[in-house]
Amino acid sequence: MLAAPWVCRSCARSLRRSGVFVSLQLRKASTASQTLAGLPPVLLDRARNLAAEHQQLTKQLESEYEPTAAKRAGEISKVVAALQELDKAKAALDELNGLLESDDAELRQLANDDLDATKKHLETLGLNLSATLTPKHPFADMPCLIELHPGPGGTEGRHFADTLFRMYQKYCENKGYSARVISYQEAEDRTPGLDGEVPISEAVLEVTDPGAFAAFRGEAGMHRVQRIPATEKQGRTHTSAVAVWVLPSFPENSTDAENDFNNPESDFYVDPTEVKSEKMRASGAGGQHVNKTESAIRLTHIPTGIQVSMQDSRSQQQNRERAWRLLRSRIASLRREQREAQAKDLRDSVLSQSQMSRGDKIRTYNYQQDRCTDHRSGLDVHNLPNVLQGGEVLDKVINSVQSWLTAMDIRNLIAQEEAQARAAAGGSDKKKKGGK
Amino acid sequence: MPRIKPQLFWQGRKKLGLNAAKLLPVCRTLESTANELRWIKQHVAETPSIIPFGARVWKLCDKRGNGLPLAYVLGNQPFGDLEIKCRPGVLIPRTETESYTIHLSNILRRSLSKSDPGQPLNIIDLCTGTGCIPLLLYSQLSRSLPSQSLNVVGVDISQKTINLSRRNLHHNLRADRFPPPSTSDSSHTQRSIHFLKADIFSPSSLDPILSTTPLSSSSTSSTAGTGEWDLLTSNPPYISPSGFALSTSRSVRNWEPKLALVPPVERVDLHQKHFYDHYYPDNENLLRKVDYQPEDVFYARLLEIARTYGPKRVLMEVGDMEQAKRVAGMVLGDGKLRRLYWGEGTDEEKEKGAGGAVQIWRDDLVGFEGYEEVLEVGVGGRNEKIVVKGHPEGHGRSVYLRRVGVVDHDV
Repeated sequence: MLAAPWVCRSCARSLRRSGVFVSLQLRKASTASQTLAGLPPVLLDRARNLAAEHQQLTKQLESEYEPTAAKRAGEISKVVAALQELDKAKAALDELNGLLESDDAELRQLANDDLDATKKHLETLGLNLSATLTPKHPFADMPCLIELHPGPGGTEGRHFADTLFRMYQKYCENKGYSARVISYQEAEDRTPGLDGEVPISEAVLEVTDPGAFAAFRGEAGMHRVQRIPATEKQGRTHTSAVAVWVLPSFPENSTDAENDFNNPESDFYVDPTEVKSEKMRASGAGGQHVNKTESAIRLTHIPTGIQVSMQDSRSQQQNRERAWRLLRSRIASLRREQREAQAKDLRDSVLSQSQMSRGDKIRTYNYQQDRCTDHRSGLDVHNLPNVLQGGEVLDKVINSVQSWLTAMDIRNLIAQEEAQARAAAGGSDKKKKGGK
Repeated sequence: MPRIKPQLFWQGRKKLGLNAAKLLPVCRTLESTANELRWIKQHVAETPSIIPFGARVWKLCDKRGNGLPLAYVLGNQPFGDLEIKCRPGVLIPRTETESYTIHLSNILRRSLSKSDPGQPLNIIDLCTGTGCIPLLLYSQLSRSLPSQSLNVVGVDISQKTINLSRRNLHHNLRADRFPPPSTSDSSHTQRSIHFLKADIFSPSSLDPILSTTPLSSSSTSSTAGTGEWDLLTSNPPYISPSGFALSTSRSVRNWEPKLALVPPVERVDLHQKHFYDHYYPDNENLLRKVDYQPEDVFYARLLEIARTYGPKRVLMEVGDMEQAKRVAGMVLGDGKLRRLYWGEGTDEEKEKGAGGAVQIWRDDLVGFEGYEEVLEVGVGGRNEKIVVKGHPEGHGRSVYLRRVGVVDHDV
């Protein structure tokens, strides 16, 4: 049986021996625990298995060309290359360690000088290897929709939703992403908030660059705010929350067959017969008889009960297109979540509570302390105005979440492999028993 | 009309401000008031002026509150991805028209990219109004099929609408919403779009347009004139005088041009007496033979045009399912039209999709292309089965004809 990925302890021990304590101060969840010393045996085993497979495939391809085999070989060649680099670096390290024990003082000094650099190199290579082994998120290359829904708690949450909306808009501006507003609905109650905030009941921002989903997927979750609201008269601090959903958006003119929404296999496929469309067709003759301005569209996906309504544009056609887009994205995201939940069941025996769902609180914005904390990466930053302006401090936070997500993906992968290995072992045991 | 509760005015004033009280009598619900107020504010914010923001919003709300349609208040109406300018005296483009125009352009796009790409496409729209249908077709087709030769013509009787449709063309060209018409002989693809004034009941003014404009595959730009019309569209006036009094909404009745809504029957009678014996001596013209209702006059004339020129596809907007059935009946009741668009009971041809089609389209086609039902229409004692497409809750909105031998590659 393979060891559980309790990498941190061994990692810490080896680091302590070499006199480097810095890494110990890093949080558990950070990627630092995934360095070479901590590169879990499962991952290495997997890499070696893939390397063996690659060798076999190349041999096979030499004699006879086969497209599927070639494709598979191409896929795993990255892993093999990363593994070879790692092996080389490891050999170099071993050599250096050997030199350290030599009698020649000068040689020892030289080896010591090189040691740190080699170790760092090894670390990055290890990370590289795990990154190549980590499965790419299926929606990673897509544009995304960022939806903001104020949590229960009245006007304060609605005000803060507006601030978050503007934060993402400005962040996109600063990073050079092209963002457009799909829906921006002001709440009926219109008390102004801090810095001209307008209470909103829902807002959707689309980031149209490919790959935006990968960049923003860490933003999904509950964003909590702690501050004294503009409406508060006695100076008490309130806590409210805004839910942020990040949905993959279907690229407008894509030729990708796999992600074509007319393809029933695709996550984005929605059967039009399962969608109820409500609009003002109830009464009257329509056509030239009336010139109504109601352009609202409400779509309900009957099997899942997902409801989308859109009334921002004067053009009903545009509202309908946007509503369909949003509906497709939500359904695709739901299907993906369901699949993830299934995979989670598989690996739950090994690992728990790593999956971050929509409901969990992920970040806190505290106005009094001028602080923004991400609860997953554990990063604490100050200079809140810069965060809310979408500046480099927010970028730092988002990056920390990205690396946390990568680390999480790798851990999940390992856990899954382990669970599969265990299941396979269990299966073979049963077989043996059956044989007796 | 039910009374608006005073309570709503209170709420509107409190939540949306004083402007809401102006809009509420016209919009009738708070939700729609909030939307219209937002659009008015957006419009004011986007158009610079020296008059203060609040004063302009107040003025526009005042106009709207008097019942003036929003499209006239703001001066435009979105149509597909175009912005169509609207002026009093010209009918405002409707969402139903938008919906079937988009569906039609999808059909043309799919059918053309599969058949001969070198074949030029000739489209004519009669009773064009703001020019919304030809502009949207031109926009959609020229962008999705950049190498397709395209010839689009819009015809209307009123000089005011022709001026407006030309303005709309230039307005959308300036905003770069579609590629400009190409007139140079050197370029391989020819694209043109024109708006012409003509009375469709007067053969002397319409026939020159219909018989000379089409491009054909063999002709160069100098010798146009032997091709066929691929598509004839029309959104003619179709409301009966009693329907105008009873079933139109107040803002339509008071502010939109009656010329675009109710067929002027007396004038048509006059035409019939004076011109038809001269121009259609074979005494077979529909306007005399078929016993049509006054509001269907334009369809009789449109079908007569279809009969003479045989366009490959015809689309006519109608008021409701009853009118759609009557128009379909007119097609099937006429010998020549029946031969052109229905074929003679050849199921084998029909299976191939080349057997011609007489269909009724409902509202809500886009996104619901799969819905289809069969309706029986009585024609001269017989019942014919007509295919009805679109979401079953939608009103009958248009009649679509496809010539025998023409294939549609729809979804």
